Amino acid sequence: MTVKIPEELNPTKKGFLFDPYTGHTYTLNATAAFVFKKLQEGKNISDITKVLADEYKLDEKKVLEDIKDFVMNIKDFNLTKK
Amino acid sequence: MIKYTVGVTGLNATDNPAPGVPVIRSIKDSPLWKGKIVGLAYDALDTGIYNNDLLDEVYLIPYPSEGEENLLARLKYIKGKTGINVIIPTLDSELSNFARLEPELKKINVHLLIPSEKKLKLRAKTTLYEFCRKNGFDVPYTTIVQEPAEIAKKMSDFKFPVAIKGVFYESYTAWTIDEAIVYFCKIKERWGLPIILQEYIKGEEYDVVALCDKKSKVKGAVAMRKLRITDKGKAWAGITIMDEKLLDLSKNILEKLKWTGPLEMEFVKDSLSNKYYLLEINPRFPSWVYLATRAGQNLPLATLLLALDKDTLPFEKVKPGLTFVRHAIDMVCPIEYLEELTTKGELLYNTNHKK
Repeated sequence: MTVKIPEELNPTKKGFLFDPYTGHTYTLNATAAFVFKKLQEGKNISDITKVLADEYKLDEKKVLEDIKDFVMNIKDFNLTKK
Repeated sequence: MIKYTVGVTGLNATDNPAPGVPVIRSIKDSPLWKGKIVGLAYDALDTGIYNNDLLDEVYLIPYPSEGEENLLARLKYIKGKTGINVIIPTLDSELSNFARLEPELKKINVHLLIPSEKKLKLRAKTTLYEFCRKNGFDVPYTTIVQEPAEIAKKMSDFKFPVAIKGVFYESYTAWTIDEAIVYFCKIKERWGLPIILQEYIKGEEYDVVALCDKKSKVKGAVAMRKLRITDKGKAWAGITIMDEKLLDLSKNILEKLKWTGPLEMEFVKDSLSNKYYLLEINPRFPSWVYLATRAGQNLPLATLLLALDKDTLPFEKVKPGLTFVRHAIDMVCPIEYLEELTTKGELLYNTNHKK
């Protein structure tokens, strides 16, 4: 599954994210910023899950759950393309 | 080089700040500006008067309640003294007088870019609901009341909370009838009748400042989200955004209004439906207009040029994410400033008080 994120949404190196459509701002931690950028590049969720699970030696199922939660959050905040 | 003499009203920048100071700051922001700024103040203690970095000269003018004839006489005197080319009125309460005087002012070569009286009435808080319903724009249910006893009766059409608004300025949110009556009396004392009751829509507030030329063509528009709102409903901090849906909606409204001059549209975005509801249309620049200038659209300078039928400079693309935060500072000035204003009704910074 992929999630479309507008290219105007660019988290800074410090994880600060400004939504130019609504004027809202968000703070992403390093992992969230990584996932956000990968989603924006068009990577699918299972690929991102695998990369993170391998990198941090984590249970893939748990990582997938967390990423799905994150995707739900960014959808709630209208940060994804309709 | 832009070298004219412009008069600007609305210099009282208090907790309900008038837009004159940011209009002047915007004009002076242009590197091309070489003209003269004349402050037109209603009271010797209007705060902006004392910012001598902004103003070249200041003249007191009669309050709107003193009528258009007194205003015209005073403006003729000021024209003679300053050679003023354009006036940018910035207060709701004075616009009807200026609209009626526009032909007379044109005869003495003083130009305005403001809507007609008919257009002013079309967007008035008392008639905005009908305008929106007729033209298919989302608007909170609105009604007017003339006395406190009417509030209880009218509340059968509303659910609490409800917004209580003055016909020109001020807005409060009431959660009970008693609270609504207190606000009714407070607003009536300051701004008179009627008082507006408006359905409260939960959501975030957005504003759009725009400018239309004499042919009602939209020359520019900047949108912002309010980040901080005072108890009087004034934006105290805000951030520019680039929501095309909001800007398209604003342009549709302007086309239906066939507007001329500056205006501000205030919206609330319903937190459930994400629809924009039009809360108010103010027929002049908002007090946050300097944010629009810094975001790439110097609408006050364009107003000056359009009033004179001059070409406007091309606007840059609006920068989203530009933020304003308002704060109060103390202006310190010698007693002579107050003396000149109260005895002669004018203060000439360049001639009598070297900066």
